[in-house]
Amino acid sequence: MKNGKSGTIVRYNRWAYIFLIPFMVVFIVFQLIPLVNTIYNSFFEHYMSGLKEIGPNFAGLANYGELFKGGDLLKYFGNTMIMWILGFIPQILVSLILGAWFSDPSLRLKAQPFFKTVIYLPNLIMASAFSMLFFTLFADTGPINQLLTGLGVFKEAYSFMSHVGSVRGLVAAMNFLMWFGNTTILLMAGMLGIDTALYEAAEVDGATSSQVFTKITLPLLKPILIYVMITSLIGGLQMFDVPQILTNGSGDPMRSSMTLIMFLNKHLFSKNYGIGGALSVCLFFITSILSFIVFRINNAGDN
Amino acid sequence: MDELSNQYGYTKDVMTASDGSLKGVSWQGCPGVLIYNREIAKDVWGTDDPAEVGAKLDSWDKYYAAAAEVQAKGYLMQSTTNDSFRVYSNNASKLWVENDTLQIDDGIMEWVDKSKAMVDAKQTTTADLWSDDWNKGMYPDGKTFCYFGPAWLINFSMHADDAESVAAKGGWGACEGPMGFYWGGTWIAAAKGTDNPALIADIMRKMTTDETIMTDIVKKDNDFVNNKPAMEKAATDDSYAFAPLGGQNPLGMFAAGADKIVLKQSAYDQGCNEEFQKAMKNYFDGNASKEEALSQFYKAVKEKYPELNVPE
Amino acid sequence: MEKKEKGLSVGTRRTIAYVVLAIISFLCLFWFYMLLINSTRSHAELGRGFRLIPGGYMIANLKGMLNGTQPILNGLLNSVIVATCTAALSVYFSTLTAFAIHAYDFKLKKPLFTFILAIMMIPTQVTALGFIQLIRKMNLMNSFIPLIIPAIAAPITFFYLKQYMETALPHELLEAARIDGASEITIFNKIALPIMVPGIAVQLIFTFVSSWNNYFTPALVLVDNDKKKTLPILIAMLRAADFLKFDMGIVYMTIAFSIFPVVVVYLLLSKYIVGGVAVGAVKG
Repeated sequence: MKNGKSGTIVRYNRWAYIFLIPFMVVFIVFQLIPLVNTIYNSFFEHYMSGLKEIGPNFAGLANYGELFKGGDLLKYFGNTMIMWILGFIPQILVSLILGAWFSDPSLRLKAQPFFKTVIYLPNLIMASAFSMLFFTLFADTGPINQLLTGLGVFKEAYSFMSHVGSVRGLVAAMNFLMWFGNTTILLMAGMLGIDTALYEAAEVDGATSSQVFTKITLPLLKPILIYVMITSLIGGLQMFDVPQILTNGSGDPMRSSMTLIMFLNKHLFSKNYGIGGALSVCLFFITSILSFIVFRINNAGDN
Repeated sequence: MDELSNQYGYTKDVMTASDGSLKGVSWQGCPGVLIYNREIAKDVWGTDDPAEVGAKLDSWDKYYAAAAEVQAKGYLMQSTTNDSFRVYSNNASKLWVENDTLQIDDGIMEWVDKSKAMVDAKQTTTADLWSDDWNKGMYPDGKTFCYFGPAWLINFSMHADDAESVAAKGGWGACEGPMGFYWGGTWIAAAKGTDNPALIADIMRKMTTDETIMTDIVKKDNDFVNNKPAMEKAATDDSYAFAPLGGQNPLGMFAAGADKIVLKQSAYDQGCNEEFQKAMKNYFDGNASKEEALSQFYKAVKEKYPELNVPE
Repeated sequence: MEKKEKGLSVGTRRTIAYVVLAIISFLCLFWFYMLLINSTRSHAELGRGFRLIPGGYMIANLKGMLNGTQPILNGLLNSVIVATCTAALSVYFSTLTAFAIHAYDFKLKKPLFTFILAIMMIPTQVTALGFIQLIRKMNLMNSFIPLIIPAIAAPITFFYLKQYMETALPHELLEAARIDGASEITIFNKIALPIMVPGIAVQLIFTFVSSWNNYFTPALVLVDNDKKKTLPILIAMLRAADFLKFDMGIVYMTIAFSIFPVVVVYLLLSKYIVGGVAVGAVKG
């Protein structure tokens, strides 16, 4: 049978290649070529001064030198990671709890479809609009300050936008609100996939619900948790819209909320292809290393 | 171009290209004045008369002394540090950039020091211009003593159409303030390759040099026009009173201020002004020392204009 | 036999759950409420602070927005065009590509799959620079084409659909169709696609929303002509440009206008999301 089929397999496999063509062509044209181009650009001094174009002049590794001088790159990387973690930890905790509740038949929660639909809604708000709303709410003379001073929590208005912690906190809060719905549903799906026989066995053994959760559910959820972590990390590294619009591009105070992509955007805006290119290459390396690490963890788990 | 001799000098300077040719003309002039809250003036000094109040604010030293008095009575002197930035920067003797090198005028550094003192003494805030916080002073509960602005600020940006605002009750007064300055303006230029040069020239001429037409503009739009004779006449005519100013006619003050303006500009002004104010906010808020804020400024300028030399 | 429940009783846990869910729902819905309220108030009213009751300026703001300096209706149309085309192309071709990897067993199968997964990790911004230069050279600045065509190669969408296929599209089904003499294209269009509908619906929504909300790429490409800008760009201009903020009522109306179409689409299709996300992700 196998031999009889091998002729047909070869014939069909041709189709695989054919079907793959659109993806590959588009990828090569719109992603691979630009990537190579970017890397190429990073070795040149090339930018716009007003309407004049300066360069391209070959500059070797000068752009990279300028990037790493002063350790700013590390600072922006740190900012990005801090704001990501600040949002991600609540996100994963809340999502786990909600996921557990939604997939627990014994709880018999009513109106689940309503809740599931609602938690997804913040994801639909444009980051720019969301940031504007937050900016208004948390202004010195805004409603939150009015509420807090009225309740006596603060003696005078707290300038949310002038303190490092509060700016980062607001960014993290927005990220959390926008994404926890997504994470919850993914985790819930994973929980539904766990064999109920395991739960029944645990119940017979007299385990409490929290023991069941930590000893059975969590370990079995590991693949999905990893998927969530990877996708969230990738998204976190690319954090741009929210802090950009909240701080009007400045990342203040003192650039404490400037992310890597905001920094890149500044250079793209002044059409500085040289430094922009170098920065992009660095980003590429960072992402590759992180994803390689995560891949390894994932594959180790599979084995 | 003698036709333009009746115009205020700075409006021509703005549109003069580096080769001396005039690229555009304006019908508007936007000299600024100090706009003060009459109620607060009465509370602090017992008077709201423009001449008397003006006398207390006609130099920076006097201004800052007055700020202490105003604050002692529980008011903010100005809404934000950025309100007075323009006044200082318009009068800067050094350009932001010379020979491709970034430099900071001493007057602007004085703004930094004085503003920091004001913030620390709670005489002003560090809000952004046009933000909700900045706008609060236009209403009585904002408790703000003064703004700096030209005619259009008074008539369009102070919420005169809102019954609750200070402007609606005619609660503002105008005086010259410590220094002259200007804010904005609209210029007309002809598009290259136009097929109607004669018509356009005629329109431009009429709008920017014809006294009758320009007087009409003042009447109808409460605007300040680019024609000295027209403005000088209007200054003494009571029918040109501004309602938000409680019936005061500020045109004479504007005229005096407009003549004094000496304009210097470089292609980097907007970027530098913006980044400077943003960077200094960190210093005022106590998030950075002056040196750190300055180095933040240098960094931002270098990112925006990579070809400039900036201090390390 | 009585089952002894250790720990908190079901009743207590349910109450806690409801309380927490109520708080969370509030946190999710409050923004929409705030938007709605603010877009019905005038600029002056807004300047005076936040209120919980709607104002009477909805029509006025609506008119102001439509007649304002920003081409809102164009923005809406542009966003609709870009988002719909992107979603359609992206999902169709991702399904095609997923089908290629899933339904056939060929030499490069594994390496290609890993390769596509690796691409998934590259942030768009890394290639943005070269992308813009390429677009310039191709004379495609200020056009929708560079926003739509690249969506054909969408690794994340592909990945999800591939996983979905593993559950929903068994090989036996395809074999049966082949034995019946169907051509590959027919198999794809007439058999695979219909089975994939829930997964496709989910990805359509995801891609539509993310394209609709995308700010970074359109901001880089659609620079010159205001009439071609998409809604997120117009909104970002509101935050940055001072003079446009003369009327905050219109600003909020603009934002509300940009968000509510998406909300409507989402609510109509929400049952797919809740169901479809689950199936595709189980294998993740």
